[in-house]
Amino acid sequence: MAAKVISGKEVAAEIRKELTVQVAELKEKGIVPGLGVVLVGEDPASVSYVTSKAKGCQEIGMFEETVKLAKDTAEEDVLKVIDRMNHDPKISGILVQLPLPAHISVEKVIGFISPEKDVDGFHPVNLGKLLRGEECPLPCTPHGVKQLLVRSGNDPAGKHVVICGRSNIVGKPLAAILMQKAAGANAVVTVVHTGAKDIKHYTLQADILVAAMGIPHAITADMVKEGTVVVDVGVNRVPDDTKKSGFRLAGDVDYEPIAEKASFITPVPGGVGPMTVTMLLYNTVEAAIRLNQA
Amino acid sequence: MTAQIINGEQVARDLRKQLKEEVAFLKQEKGIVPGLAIVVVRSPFARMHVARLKERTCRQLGIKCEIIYLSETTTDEEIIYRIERLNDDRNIHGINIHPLTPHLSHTLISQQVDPEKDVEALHFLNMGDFLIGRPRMVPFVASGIMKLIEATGINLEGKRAVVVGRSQLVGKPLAFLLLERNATVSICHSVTADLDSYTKKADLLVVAAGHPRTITSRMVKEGAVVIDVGVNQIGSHLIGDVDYEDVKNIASWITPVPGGVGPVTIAMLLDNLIKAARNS
Repeated sequence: MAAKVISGKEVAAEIRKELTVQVAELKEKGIVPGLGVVLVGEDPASVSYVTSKAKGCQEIGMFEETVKLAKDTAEEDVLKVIDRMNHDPKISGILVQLPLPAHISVEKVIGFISPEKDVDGFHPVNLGKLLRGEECPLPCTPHGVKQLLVRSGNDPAGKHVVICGRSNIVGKPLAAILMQKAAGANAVVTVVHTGAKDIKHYTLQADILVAAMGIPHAITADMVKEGTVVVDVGVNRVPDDTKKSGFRLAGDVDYEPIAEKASFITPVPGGVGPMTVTMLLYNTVEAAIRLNQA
Repeated sequence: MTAQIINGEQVARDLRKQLKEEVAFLKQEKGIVPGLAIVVVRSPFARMHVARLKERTCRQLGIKCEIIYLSETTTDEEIIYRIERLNDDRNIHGINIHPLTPHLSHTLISQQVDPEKDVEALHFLNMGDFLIGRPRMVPFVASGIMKLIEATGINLEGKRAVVVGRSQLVGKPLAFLLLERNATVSICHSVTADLDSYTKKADLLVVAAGHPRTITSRMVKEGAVVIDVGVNQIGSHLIGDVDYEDVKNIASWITPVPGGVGPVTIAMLLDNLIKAARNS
């Protein structure tokens, strides 16, 4: 059996198309969703993320403002920018690009964003709402995983979802999302991690397997049951002399042999990756709607 | 094999002894007397006897306890007004709201409690901080269950833990506490088909489903540790979610109902209170 490929590019394009329509409708009512991005320093990966976020905003007709700060900017000055955006009616969502330089407290900066404008979904108030099952912006990557599953016809309800990895940005929030009594959730969730003696024992029991460990090709074909839905969240740089950059991107899943066994699989790149920025745009549009209801 | 009994009363006694020492220390070193406020709306839901038990426990430990009784016809506004006054009261370090009648907005009300005084850990801010592993307050029923597990001496590292039930107070927070102890955690619930296939693999099985005697011996792995969080009133009897007489023949450890989880929860609520007083 050869797996159907769940194309993150296609699903992301589909969602962006929906957002474009939604933004146009909002504009008719005089509401322009706007994303404020704060970038501290010039880390090349961060610059490229920020650029793709800005481009995404423009494509769907949203307002966007990127504030670039020098890497030695004082924490206080970063907070000032956020404070200004918290009060700026043009801005409905604020994103601070991580990682931040070591002298700036991520916790403090994230906690300083108004929860209504926290479109990354990492403000503790929003994480609390998530755990409780209240409406809130869902963290972008796990939200993207949920959308990939639902939109490929793999509703997690009643399924056994095995999540490998328990990070604060993917594993834990994804577990919290999928265990809720809610549409597109209602799964039996198992979280395995480096503390497990035999990861394979668990992955073989999965109906839906989500790999989010950050270890290239950690999931091998012998760890996957025939017919499993496999979602690969890993984006690892592995050295590759044949590439100009000297590396290539590899997922946490050993793609080729697993694609022979799985029923559905997400590729790397082109799987979960494109969803993350898209869900950020989605959260920003939602935030704009909520702010205008209040 | 007959299971050893996890004696919740004994674990609670040991916890209270520690708490009493901490209270004495706080008084001596900082001049702080921890103060708990319990808001009780008189109704059949209110669990008045539990409020009085909390009051008595506080007195034994040297904690100040104030019960605020409101009539069954009270409103959201009145409760919120009371909470705001308690938030401002320097002698109160923790606020505990007893189950409310359905006409009141529990979620809205629980968000009015100052997060520093939120000993139930229900404020979104506290739940979020808890989720990412830096809790100010830990949901106290879940932390009480962890104390019972500790009392068995089993090491959770690499073990499979299965939690049945995904309530706000038990299932959901417990899953994340078990994860922190390096267990592999599965959370099952009402929509789970084939519950046995999960429970039977559990080294640690925690049941908080709210249905009497849901779990029978054929659903339990030989030698498992079984924690029963259920309290179902059948006539004049309290019955757990686990068929105790049946499952005790196969488990290695088991909690009785009553006398298992119940007694430790008050101690863990007061543990949060003492933490809050210390940080005040």
